[in-house]
Amino acid sequence: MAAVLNVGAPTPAQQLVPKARTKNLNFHYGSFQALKNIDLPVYEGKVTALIGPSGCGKSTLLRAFNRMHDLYPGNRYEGEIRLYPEDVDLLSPEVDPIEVRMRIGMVFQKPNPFPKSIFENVAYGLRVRGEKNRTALADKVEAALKGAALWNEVNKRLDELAVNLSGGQQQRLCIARALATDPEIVLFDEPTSALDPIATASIEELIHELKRHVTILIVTHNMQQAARVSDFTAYMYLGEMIEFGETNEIFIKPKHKRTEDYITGRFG
Amino acid sequence: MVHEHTDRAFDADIDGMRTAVMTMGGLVERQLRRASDALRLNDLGLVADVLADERVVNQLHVQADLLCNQIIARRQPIAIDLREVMAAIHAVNDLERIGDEAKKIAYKSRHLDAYSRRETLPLDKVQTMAGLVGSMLGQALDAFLRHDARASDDLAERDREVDRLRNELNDELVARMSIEPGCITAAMDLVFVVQSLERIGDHAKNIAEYVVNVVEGVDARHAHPADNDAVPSS
Repeated sequence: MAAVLNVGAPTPAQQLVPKARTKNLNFHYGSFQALKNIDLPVYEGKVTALIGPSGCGKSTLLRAFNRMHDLYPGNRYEGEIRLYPEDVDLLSPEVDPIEVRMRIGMVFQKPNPFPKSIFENVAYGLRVRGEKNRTALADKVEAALKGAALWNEVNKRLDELAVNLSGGQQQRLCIARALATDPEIVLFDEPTSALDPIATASIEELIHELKRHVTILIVTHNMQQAARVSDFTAYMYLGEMIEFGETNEIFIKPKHKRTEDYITGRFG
Repeated sequence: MVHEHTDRAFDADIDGMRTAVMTMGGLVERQLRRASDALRLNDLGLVADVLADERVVNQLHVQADLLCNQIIARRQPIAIDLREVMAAIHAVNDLERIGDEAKKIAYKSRHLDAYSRRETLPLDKVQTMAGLVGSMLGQALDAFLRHDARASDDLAERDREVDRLRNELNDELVARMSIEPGCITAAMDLVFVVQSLERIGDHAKNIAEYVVNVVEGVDARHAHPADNDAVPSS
């Protein structure tokens, strides 16, 4: 009865545990400012979707979390991305970006398995971390493949090349690869835009399962996908975060007209 | 003001849905007017007209529902679009109920034709009530078409007036029945007419409440104090 009576009620604050937060985050690609004063909370065990038109900065924001922009010269961060519970600023020069990427994994739009075996793809991050024990590697690879709902399909052919898997399987392999290092946050950058509807549904189901163990941040162009998979949604436009809120609220009664215009297809 | 969708076909679908609702609303308004006139003028021809409209109203109910289902399936509406589709689904149910109540009033008019002392019944007061609920229905439909959320409070106030008239009429008819047993059948027919009119007023108020949700995203149903009285005020 209580559950029925509380349909539509916002998540009580005590159930929301901060996992990360951007504080006054600005980002420049050279002279171009791509992010402007972003204050985004990311809650533990929740899926947060970033939506907005092309060029709004959502992928830029996503990639800031795991310091992907460090790989290219001329990029500049201002502000902070704090990770909890340690309350450490991920953008601090003292923080090792490699270690950040161990704790914050990423899955890209196009499945990108390494030209290695299924096993070696998943074990790669562990080997970089220094894991040499074969049993430990095997256990973690199995756990990661199970976590990505791929184990049953590949457990008898772990030595086969990953590129021989289907598109949907390759994407789940990439998720397993990200899970192998026990990340706290997994970033998904349009993870299903290259997949067919059935593979897409399997990834979305996987996201539902994964959020019990990791915090998820997802960029998607697919409004219905954001509505289906996320707990919280942030709408971005021209580098600014226009609105942030629970997905139920954003998709039923957004506070800002600009948000409503975009999500209802009245934008532009 | 709500701008057009980038996909104009979506706008066309929404317009089609609104047209179905307003067409049904217009027909139901006409049913109520004719039922009320049938009672006032003792015109049995109008009764037949009300029943003929009933068939079309029911077809429109099914059609409007189908249009709403198609929009949901094909467009996956969200935010204001979703709220408007939900409002249409609810509104056509209320309109169908109004049509049914108008039909009942028309039937009672037929019964009352047999009563020899019709002119002694409080038909003027019933007409006042019918005029009030007819006006409420018109206001609710207008609010639905123009996304006017302000109508809800006004209709809640007018509905209280309808309830007051219902109470007065019921008291008068009960008193009449107690002193004149010969009028019981006719008086009971009028009691049922009054009940139908009161329900029409409620349905009109409901439609205005759906508009509040469309415009403001606030569910206004059961929000007025009288809606939550533990004991009915009458």
